[in-house]
Amino acid sequence: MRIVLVDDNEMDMFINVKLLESGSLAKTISTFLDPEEAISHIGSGEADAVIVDNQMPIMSGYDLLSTVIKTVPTVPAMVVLTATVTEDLTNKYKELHNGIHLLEKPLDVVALRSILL
Amino acid sequence: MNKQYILYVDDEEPNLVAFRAIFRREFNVLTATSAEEGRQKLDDNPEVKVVISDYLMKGITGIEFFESILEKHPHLIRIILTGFADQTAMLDSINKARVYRFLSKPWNEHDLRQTILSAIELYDARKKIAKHQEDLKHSYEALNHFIHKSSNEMRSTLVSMHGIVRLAKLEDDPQKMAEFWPILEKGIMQIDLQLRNIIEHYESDQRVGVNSPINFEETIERCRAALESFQDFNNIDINVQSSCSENFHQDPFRLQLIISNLLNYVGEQVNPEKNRIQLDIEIIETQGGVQMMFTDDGIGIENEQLTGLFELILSKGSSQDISLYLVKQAVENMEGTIEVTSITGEGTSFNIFIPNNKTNSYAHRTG
Repeated sequence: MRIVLVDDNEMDMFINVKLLESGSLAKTISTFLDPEEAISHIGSGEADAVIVDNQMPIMSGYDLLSTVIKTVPTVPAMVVLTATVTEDLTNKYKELHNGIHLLEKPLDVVALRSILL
Repeated sequence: MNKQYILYVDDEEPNLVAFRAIFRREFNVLTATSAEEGRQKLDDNPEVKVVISDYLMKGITGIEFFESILEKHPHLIRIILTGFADQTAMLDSINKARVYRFLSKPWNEHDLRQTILSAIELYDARKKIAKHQEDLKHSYEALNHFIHKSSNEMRSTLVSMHGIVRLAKLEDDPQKMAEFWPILEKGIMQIDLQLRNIIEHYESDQRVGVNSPINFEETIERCRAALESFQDFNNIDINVQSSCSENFHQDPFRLQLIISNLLNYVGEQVNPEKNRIQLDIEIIETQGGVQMMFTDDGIGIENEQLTGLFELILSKGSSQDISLYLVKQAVENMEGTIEVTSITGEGTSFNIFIPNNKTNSYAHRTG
């Protein structure tokens, strides 16, 4: 599985990559600090799953996924990472797309596996 | 004292003339001969606090007139002048048009004056209460915001640290595991700094002024050293010029809070192209206090961010916006002032005035 990770925080990115590697879930992991670059990568059809941080300064996880849903013909599996999952946040993403899953940080690879497989 | 504005509405011109003749020295008297004109005068003069209306006018009663202005001018105090006493109609209308007082016509100058004066008093008292309520609501919201923001920031740091622990558990090689300790330590320091901010904020708010002479060079150096033990702080060059004498007395705790939070903020303003930041601090003793100027050559602050700079804003999840809130609070607690100017790409300048708290008797003794 080709997984795309988007997070503006380098420390979290480092952690998530290591955790993903430990889960041997991904064939490739592409990391993006810049959401715009992530979108064009996903647009080229090279992602099976995208994992995004909810809170990013320039473009939030929500804005990023909205753009992906609008512009990409085959939408990959979508997972949002956030420090705290609240009901409001869950509803907001459910309204955007029914297939979006929210996971609390730090990334739980077992939970991720059951979502993606 | 400023003359207060009152409006008198009556369709009989001679009544208006008499009223004006008597009261124009004490009040700013506006008059109108119809409900229509009365409404216009109210719209044009928001300073009006009390409106007096004749009860029986052509085509409209004073009560109906009051009802018509209730929605637009709810805070006005309303007085009715009436030539006859239909008590049931009066009682009914007190509720409908929220009339403050009924006075009988022809009016007696003394009674009317007293009624107007107490109406103005009532108006001012209500305004004051409304203002207090607004302030209270505002600080409650700000506090809630502060708690929410701090909790969110500390949780996201904790969550990253949790991730590190999870990684460390997967690691068998002690050499590699050792790489995780500094990252964990950094997280602990970040949370500690935030908790210290909250504690300092509380303490700064509760303190009753402690006064001692301030040595600015020493204080600034102490703040810098304390920050350095927490974070990477060696890309900031600080140049201090102080012409402040021993004569300046203030609360050292609050001054430290101001200086260290400003230094912390400036540390976040480093222009990535230069990778260093120059901070000039100038302290000048002035009439009644000191003027502190913090000028840096950092990235500067966008215009639209300048207005809310000292507010608690939940935005990019960084800790420095708390810094400036703390600075503002401390400055205000000392009854000082703070101003900020900034040019994007060139730098920011904070200008702070702090009053001298040295008591007069003490000043006399030391000359």
